[in-house]
Amino acid sequence: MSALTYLLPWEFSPVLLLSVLIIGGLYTRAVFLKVNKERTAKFYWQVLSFYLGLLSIYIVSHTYVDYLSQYMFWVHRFQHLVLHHLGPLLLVLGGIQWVRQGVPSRFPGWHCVPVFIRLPSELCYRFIQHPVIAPVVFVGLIYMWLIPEIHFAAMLSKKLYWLMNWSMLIDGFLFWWLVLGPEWQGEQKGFKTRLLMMVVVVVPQQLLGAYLTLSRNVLYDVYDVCGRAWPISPLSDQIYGGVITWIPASMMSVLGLVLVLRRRLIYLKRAEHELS
Amino acid sequence: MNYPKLILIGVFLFLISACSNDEPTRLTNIKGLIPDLAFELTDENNAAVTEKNYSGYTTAVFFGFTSCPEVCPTTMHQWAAILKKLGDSAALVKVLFISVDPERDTTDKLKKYTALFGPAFIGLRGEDAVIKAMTKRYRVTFGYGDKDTQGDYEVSHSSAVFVFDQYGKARLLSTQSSAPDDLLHDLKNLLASSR
Repeated sequence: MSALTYLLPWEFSPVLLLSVLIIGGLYTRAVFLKVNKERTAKFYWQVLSFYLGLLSIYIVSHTYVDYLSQYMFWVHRFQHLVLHHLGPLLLVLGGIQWVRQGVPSRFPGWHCVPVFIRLPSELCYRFIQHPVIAPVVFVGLIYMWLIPEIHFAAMLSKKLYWLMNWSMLIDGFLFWWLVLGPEWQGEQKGFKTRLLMMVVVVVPQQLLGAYLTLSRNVLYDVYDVCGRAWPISPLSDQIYGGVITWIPASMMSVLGLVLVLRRRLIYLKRAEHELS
Repeated sequence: MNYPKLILIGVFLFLISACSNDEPTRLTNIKGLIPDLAFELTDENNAAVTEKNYSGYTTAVFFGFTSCPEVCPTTMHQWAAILKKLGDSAALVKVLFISVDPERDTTDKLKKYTALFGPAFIGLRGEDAVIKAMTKRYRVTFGYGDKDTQGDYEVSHSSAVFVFDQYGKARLLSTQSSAPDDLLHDLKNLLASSR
């Protein structure tokens, strides 16, 4: 196989390619507009984090990794780790909100969108970003797509597979945006809520990971039905997948917890500084 | 249960129902989930064949290889037994054994192999790229392990049998774990409905 086989998409997705190009393009434009004003180390770290996040999402969805994810349970778990946890988190830490500043001023703003589209969208957004709903959806989606019957259909049908991966990516982004997005800068605006949200999502993920890892039965026969990318015993495949769900995925959530704590610390220090 | 989850499950069920049909099947119903039968391959008599050569027949498509130690012979024996039970209507069924190991599976080898199971069984082969494209179409895959000292290697492949009706539409998916009775039941229904 040539290097091209590894780099080219297994299933070409114009939607993904356009999204990555538009978001990446607008962000890059914003960075060039900012670069003379902000020359702090934090700025460069953020830029790095953003591009890493975008690149990681592209790699798992639009290269050979996507092929492997369809025919190996553990690669599939890795793909979802990136789509739901790592990629969106890096984008949020990388200051994805700058994308807005990258939009050329001749384009109409959100307030120009007709009310009948704007209002329902805002209501949906507010609903899904509710501090009780958001963690439940975050964990609920992981569980739902791993119900064996649903998982079977999602792996066999191209449409459902597409729906599964997009739902994970969008939900991952919404969740990390809520927890670590720029809208929240201080204790008054829900430090405790965010801390609780992070704690709440860690435990069910660990339980799920442990269940997958320690289960003695092959839970997902779709990989036998469709064939695996290379010969490997079904149970080993499941154990690797379980470990990925168990350790790195819950570690990412712990990392989120640490980031929330750090943000509070910085806020407290700043407040103290202003007082003295 | 909360609303978003309910909504998601609703959406999911809708998508599934859009794909499934009315008559209940015991095996997994794949109507609409998988594209219609289409291929250009070489059969065990070295003749070029396409899906049109089998139109009018209910076809069972299996991706295997003749050196397969377990899954392939078990599945083929299961189908041979089912065809016997079907009686006369078995004449309307063809089992297409598509090799995912074209390097080792020559047409002669395929012919000898399928002869073990009966006249309804036909071995098909094609170039590696053709087989790869075909497996992709049916959302299955295969892969090879490392060669041992004798040059033998393991092959990972799909254990499923895809059943297409006489018009080449995907209908049923049977796996190793499917009960023979369920398979017989669904095949009888399918054959009866296509008369």
